[in-house]
Amino acid sequence: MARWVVLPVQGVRGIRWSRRLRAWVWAYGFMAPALVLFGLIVLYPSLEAFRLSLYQWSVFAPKRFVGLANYQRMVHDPLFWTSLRVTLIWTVGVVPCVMVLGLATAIALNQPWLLGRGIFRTIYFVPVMTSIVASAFAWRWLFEPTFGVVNWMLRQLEVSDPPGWLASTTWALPALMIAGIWKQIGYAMVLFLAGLQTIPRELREAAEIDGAGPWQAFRHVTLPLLNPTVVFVAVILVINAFRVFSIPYVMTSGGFTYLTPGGPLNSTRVFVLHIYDLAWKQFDFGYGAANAMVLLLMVMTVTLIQLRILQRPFEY
Amino acid sequence: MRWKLLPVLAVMMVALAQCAPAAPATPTAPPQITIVHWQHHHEARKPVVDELIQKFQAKHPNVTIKFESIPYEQYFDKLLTALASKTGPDVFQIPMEMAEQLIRAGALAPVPENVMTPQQIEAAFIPAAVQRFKADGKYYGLPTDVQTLILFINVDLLKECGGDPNKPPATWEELKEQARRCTKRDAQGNIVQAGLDTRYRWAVFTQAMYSFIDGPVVDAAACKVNYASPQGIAAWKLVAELMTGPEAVDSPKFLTGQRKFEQGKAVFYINHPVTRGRLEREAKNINWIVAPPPVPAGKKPVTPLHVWAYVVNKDAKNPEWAWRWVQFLTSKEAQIQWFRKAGDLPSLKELLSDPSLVTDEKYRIALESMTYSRPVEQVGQTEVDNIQSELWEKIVIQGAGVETAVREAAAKEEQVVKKILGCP
Repeated sequence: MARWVVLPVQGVRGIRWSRRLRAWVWAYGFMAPALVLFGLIVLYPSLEAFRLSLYQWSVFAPKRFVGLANYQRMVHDPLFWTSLRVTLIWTVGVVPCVMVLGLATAIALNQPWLLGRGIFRTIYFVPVMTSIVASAFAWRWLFEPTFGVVNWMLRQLEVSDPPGWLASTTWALPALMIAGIWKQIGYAMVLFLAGLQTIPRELREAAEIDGAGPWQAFRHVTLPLLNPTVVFVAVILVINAFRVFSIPYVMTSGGFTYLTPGGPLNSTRVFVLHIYDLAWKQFDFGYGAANAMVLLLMVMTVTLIQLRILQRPFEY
Repeated sequence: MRWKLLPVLAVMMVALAQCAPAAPATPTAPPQITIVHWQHHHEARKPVVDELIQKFQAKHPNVTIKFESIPYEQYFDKLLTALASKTGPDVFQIPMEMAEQLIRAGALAPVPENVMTPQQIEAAFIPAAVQRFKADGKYYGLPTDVQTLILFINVDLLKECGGDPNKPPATWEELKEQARRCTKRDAQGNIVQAGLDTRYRWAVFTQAMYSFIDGPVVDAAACKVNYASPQGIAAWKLVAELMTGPEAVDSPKFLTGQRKFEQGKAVFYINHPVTRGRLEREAKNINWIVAPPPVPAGKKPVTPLHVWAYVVNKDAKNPEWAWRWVQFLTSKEAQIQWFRKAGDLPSLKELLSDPSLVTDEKYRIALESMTYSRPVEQVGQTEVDNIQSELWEKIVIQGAGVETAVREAAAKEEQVVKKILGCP
């Protein structure tokens, strides 16, 4: 009897294991192309960059192992702290603005009564599709202090001494941040629109029947249900902010301007520009790689913190 | 008997066959050679290279030149990445500031003696154009993009402010005085026309330093940077006078990052003679002339000579043909093309006194500037550019004290020189 009972159990287990194995093979089989690509273009270069960060290497001379010396050097490098500060200012200034403006635009363009919604959505998305280099050049002209459109408008508003923008250590970064915000609003808007359209209309209607006003309905119904999108957009925007490069690079140099990228006086030297300058302009590849590893760690840490804080479960 | 003679006959036939004239061999085509050539993009130079490629390939049908004109901002990124990964071009150009670094790193192939001997190079080219590309008795580069600095003048704007194009400023004092007179401001005091376009800041402060400082600005042999000397500080004080205060002749806030001279918004402009090519293309409406660059009162004319060189990758598959291509690019025939079509100055001694090149006053002044030039002594490129640019911005934007800022910058630059040259 016991033998008769035990055998089928083993058989069931065997079947279960073979099913699991099959599922495992299928799952990893489907994931394999992505995993191989990830390994080749993300994991391997990252490990290689870490290895490089332990060396002193200028391309012009053989590599020399220096251990953690590049990381120690970073602590005493004023440019490391300057670029970190500039990047943090960029993140704190750009990310909330893009989120608020992106969400507001998405809500406005999600109204069923709005005519030509498709056209407006396209218009707001155009900056995302525009070449970042071309748009950065255009912004450079707009911010030109003497004949530029921005200062012309400020003069019309009776501002007697408008900023020097890209020629000023105080105003260069805000000018770049405005361009950065303009570039990303459309991207956030599309994601928020997608999120808004997944929220069942009945929930909002129920809230209205219960006497909730527009703000209360937004605050207590729309926003909590939009939380996964908010988390996603926030994480992506913060990562983008830490990796920002093209706008500061093109707007502060490029062409026959003979200006220094990240200038004037390093006031727009964002972290990736700092890494680029170290590695590709000063040929200090080991130190550049060490800075890149710190950037990677920072992005990962900030992302994890964001996920912890923003991703809260909610119930109805 | 007859059968016995057969082997003898066979041997004789074989011997006779050896004496017979060889059958004509099927002609084999020379092996096809491809030379990859990179240089940074310049509107006026690209067509010249394209034309020279056609001529070289017509002379040598077995050689194909694959030319890539790379935007300046990406040139070094691409070049360095390629060299580090052993996928670099066969022929490329480098500025003189990078010569020591690349030669010491063993990244370059020397000019082979069957192409040009060191003696032939020294006999052909002016010393200032080739001396920084020589190491251990061998040459590692042949000069191209030879440039001095000259003064460009917008004739109409100069006349408007009472200047005489026939008496261009010869000294810094005269330039300062005329530029101040020609600078226009709006009611708020913002510059709307610059006396001097200073956007190519390197040209302004380098001309100032090389004209004020009598000895070497950078002494590579002694690993010293000398612009913190009284003469160097005087040069940087001149920069402060030109760029700050109510009598400034230009401002970083005026047409930031824009081409002021080309737009007819500046009267004077210090730049290389090659600017001629760009002005002829982009500023057709501007009536401009050139003059020798300014120097301190009482001093003889002087200008820094900056050179790029065509070099050959040590990993080039066919260095001899790569050097033959470089030899052609720097030949008399090519240099005449460079001069006439792009505005590059010749580096061959025989061309400096060639009357056929002097077809107008602009060419005469550009060519003459070679005779009073001295080579740029800067060692290291971007690191040094960053230091000098920061010095400029500290003085011009922050209004920092000139002496302290100059001393700090010179000390920083000296550290870079020591690092690159391996000085103690």
